[in-house]
Amino acid sequence: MPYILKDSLLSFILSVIGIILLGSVPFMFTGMSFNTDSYLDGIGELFKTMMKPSEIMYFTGSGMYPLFPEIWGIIGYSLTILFSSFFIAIILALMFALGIFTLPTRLKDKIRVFSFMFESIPDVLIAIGMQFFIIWFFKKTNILLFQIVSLHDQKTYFVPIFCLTVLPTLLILRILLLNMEEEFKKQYIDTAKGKGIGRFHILWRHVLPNTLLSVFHQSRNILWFMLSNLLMVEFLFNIYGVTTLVREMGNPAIFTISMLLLFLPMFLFFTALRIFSYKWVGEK
Amino acid sequence: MIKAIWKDPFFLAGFLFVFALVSFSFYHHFVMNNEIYENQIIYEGITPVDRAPFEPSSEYWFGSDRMGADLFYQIISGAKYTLGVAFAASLLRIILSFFAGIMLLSAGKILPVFKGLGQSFYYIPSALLILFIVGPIIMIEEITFWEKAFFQIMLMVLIAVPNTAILIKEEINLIQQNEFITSAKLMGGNRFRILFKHIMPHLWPRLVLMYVQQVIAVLLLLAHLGILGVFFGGTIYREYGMEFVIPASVSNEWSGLLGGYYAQLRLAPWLVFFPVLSFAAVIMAFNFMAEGIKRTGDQLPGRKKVKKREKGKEESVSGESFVFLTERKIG
Repeated sequence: MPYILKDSLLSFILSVIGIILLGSVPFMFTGMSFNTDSYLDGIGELFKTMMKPSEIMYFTGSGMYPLFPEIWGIIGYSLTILFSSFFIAIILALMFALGIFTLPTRLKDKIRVFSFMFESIPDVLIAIGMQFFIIWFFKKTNILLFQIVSLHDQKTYFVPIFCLTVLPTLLILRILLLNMEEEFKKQYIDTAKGKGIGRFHILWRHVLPNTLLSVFHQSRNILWFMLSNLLMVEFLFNIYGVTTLVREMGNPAIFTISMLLLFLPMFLFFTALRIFSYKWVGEK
Repeated sequence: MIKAIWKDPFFLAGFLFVFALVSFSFYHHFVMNNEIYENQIIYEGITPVDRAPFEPSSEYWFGSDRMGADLFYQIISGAKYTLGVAFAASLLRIILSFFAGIMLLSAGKILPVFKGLGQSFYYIPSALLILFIVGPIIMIEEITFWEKAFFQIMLMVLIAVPNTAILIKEEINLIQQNEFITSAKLMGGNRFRILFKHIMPHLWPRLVLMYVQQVIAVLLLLAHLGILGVFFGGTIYREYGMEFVIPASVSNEWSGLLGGYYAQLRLAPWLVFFPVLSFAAVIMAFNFMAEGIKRTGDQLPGRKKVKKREKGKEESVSGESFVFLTERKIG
């Protein structure tokens, strides 16, 4: 336990430093030329600006606003979409995995062999496909299923969460399917079977928790992948979330602050997962 | 193992698709003179029936844009640039990461610091980071197109190097745990000899797999940047009708097509849909290749044969090969 806390603290500090270093990269280039001195100055300048957060302003079509406290709403919205999609994806993937495991073996093996194709669908395709579908449905029936484009003060949840859920679900489903197969080959499963424990009970009580652990291990990669998705979804559905804010401002201070605020909850989530899995199986 | 991938159906399927696409693109460039059929109005006799943009049909497979240019040939023509950028950028990524990984091997106590700093990339969407850095530079007009393209490719390369280098370093560490490395050390092989003679043969397959995965990552990144309006291939302005001037991509590079046509999503959805679909198809092909490489890596040599023999054995057991003890007593 102390090891985890120490290690987490170290990676927390280093990640914050890393984000600040990345945030000041634009200072490195004056035009195309590479300039180390101005980079170091830029880091100092960035710190100065960030020390007075109340003075940072951002622009929208209607005018200039102070970044705080507006940013809490913006970042909260993005985080809500991100994390609710993540959890919905886990639940859906679990349900699909259980469903697939009740299928006959030959079909199951085929799904497993071809599950790598799940990863081939670009996120852009899903978001654009969704837009086409809604427009097409609207043209045919004159019913607007969902608000496709969100306005500044009006928040849509269903469509972005849906678009953001599809790919992580497939990704987690693949991890689950591959790991479940591995898990079923282990000897304790034979013991459990020998004791006469039902197949579904073994799946539910023993295999599933162990495979979920591997999903937790991969959660950082999954969430990173989802962040790229979030960028696309926010752009395509015109959502004013944190990536839109950064994209439209392009200001190092706003970039750094937004990324730090995005980093913090994700980092806390990963640390909580680490502590949780340590308590559970004693793994560091 | 590298030779064995040519026998894997998954790898072959993916490879043939990409190879066919690139060769057709070059064929189109050199034999068909890179011509893209343009026609703004379709006549039936002398009466005009339809005007561009045309929907996908048997004549225009992927439809056409407002200038009446056939989208299918635009995509074919752009394939060599997009895939070329993806190949080159991923190759550079792997080469740089390889050398960085070797340097990390002797990093010692700085390693955790480097790892921690590399983690910060996991909390920033890569397309956003590139947009953030490239954005102000693209605005500057004095910089030529080639400089901008070079700058952008370098950024796309560098952004992935820290984490890939750590990955390669860990792969090397895994190989170093083998016993033959210890014996090579004991025999007095120096570090570079061990690296190139003993580690590299085992690292190659991993590097090939990483390369294919990096190509996929770069293609996705290109698609994202295209949608966001940052793309290579250069932009020219063409006259449309009498009064409009619209931006168009010079090289028909895919992310350029995507970014250029994105504004017409509502008017002519196929113009956005097909470039995205071609990205998806190529990514799928590379995923097939990656899967093929993984499968040949996992497979033990001659595993299939062993299975067959086991089956044969079962059948060959006949009643004569054993005698019941009870029968023996009687006999």
